[in-house]
Amino acid sequence: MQLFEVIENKNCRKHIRKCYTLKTPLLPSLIESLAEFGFLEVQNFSQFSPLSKDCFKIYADDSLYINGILYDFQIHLTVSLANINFIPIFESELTKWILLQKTNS
Amino acid sequence: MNNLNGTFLPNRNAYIAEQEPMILHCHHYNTFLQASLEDTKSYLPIYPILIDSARDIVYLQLKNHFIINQIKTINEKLQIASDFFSFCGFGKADLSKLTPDGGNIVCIAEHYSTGWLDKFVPRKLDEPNVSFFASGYFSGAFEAIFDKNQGQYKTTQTKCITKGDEFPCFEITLNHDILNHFDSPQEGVFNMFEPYDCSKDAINADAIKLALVQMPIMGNHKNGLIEAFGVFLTRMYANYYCLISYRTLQKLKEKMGEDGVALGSKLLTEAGHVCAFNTFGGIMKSTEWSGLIKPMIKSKEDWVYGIVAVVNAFGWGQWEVLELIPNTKLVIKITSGYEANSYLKMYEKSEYPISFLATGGVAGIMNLIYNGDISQNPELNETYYQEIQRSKHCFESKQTYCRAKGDEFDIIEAILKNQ
Amino acid sequence: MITKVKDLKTWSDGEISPFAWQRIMFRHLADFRETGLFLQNIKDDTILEQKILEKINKSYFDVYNIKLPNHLFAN
Repeated sequence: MQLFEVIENKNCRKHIRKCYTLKTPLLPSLIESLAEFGFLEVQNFSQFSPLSKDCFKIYADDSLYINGILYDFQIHLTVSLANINFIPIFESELTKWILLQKTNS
Repeated sequence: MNNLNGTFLPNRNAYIAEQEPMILHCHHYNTFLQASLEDTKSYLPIYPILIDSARDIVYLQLKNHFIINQIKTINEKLQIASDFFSFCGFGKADLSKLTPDGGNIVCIAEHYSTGWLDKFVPRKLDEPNVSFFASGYFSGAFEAIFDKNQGQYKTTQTKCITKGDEFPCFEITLNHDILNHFDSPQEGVFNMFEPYDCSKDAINADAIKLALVQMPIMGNHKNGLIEAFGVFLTRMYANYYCLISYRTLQKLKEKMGEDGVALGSKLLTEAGHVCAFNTFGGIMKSTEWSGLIKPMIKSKEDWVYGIVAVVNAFGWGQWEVLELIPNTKLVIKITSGYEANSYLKMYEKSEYPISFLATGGVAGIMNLIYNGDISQNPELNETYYQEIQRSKHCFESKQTYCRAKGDEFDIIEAILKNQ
Repeated sequence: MITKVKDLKTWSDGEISPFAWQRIMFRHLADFRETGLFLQNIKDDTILEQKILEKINKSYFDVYNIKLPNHLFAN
């Protein structure tokens, strides 16, 4: 069973960029679990306009960048070419969280 | 410590750090503008203009900051100069080992070096090194820190990553040549505007401005660069752009007459267009745009209102849409634009329109939205830029009202080139 | 070989960008003036002399890493 769809952006020379589309929305619990990989920064845009949604990013120097919109279905991963080993670790964490959501529901 | 970070003034849309307006601009604009000005190198003294303009501004700003905040120790002053360099996204430079006689600086990173390599081919070995702004920054900072007059230090870039070196390096020495100097126009001749309640508009411009102003846009702790919206951003001195552009135009006029001014103006406007394409385009493709602005958007025209709201958080003054005819025309009114603010203080009056960045920027908005289609998330690369430039639906713009010429405000109109 | 401004512009627009020729002209304003050419006199059928073509060729290489093709400039 496929838990998410992945599209890779092939235009970047220095990084690998992947966009993951999930079937479940990105909940704060996912962001908290991914925050172990770097610094977490949340932009609380919803406090300025009721229509706006909060954004998050998790980054570690210039080797790793994860970002997305809370309660949206897409999450973006950017890793430097020297750090591609992180991709399976990220995907495993994503899978674990999705499966946990299924168990909880 | 009395950090030098500055404050955003919402009734002027200006970001002021110790009387110096700071504005957001990307590496595409910074390097393209520098490259265009360097094109005059065979007949104008362009390198002193690029270096001394930075020195003149930084000197006055830091000197004022040290006096107003009663900062006395050299170590504290060096730290403030180094922290502000990083805060603004100029790079990371350790100044702590320097003495009143000068010394050497190794930068972990520097904005113009990284930006140049990203945008252009490496510089040839017989060309000067690329970091003129940083050289001027260090000279001005040193003169303020060690309480000297402008021109008493000289900074030479000794290593340059655009020529294959690993790090940008600089040497600061005492200078015995007599140099010209020029006082920064600081906040210039600015205007204020009446706030307008936009909470009932589809695009809540005030909410966007507030949200963006509070975002922590600053150089990262590792290399002092700001990577955001797909570009390297800087919180650059508005007066740096104005000094290097207007000083060059003045020299061009002296040396080449109207020929020089006409061609120079076109290239300065093109720099603004390049900036709009990359920075505005990068913003409209970003997660922040998707979270903050996209949920408000109901039509293609709202993309225009959305990006204009974003511009109002950049410190460029107040931009307002006066007229928008889809696919055809955009008219923008600018109150307290940074180009006019600075020009009016420096020269009082101009014979020709001088808001080059804004002029290029307004055409850039129309080209991104109605010539290309930014809502379809295209890759913003050179190929796409050229495609837009060559298209039959390409927009160009002109400044129809100019505060520096005596008008009350600036107005820029973008229309189809082939109309 | 006779190289006219129009030929050079067409090649430059197609190979690089519509603004490339303007940047190159900006670089060589003083050189044009030396040969008596002012911007308003530079028309599509203006013939460019070998001496200025040499300089233009070097500038295209410095700025865009590209050299003029043989049909425009023979070394």
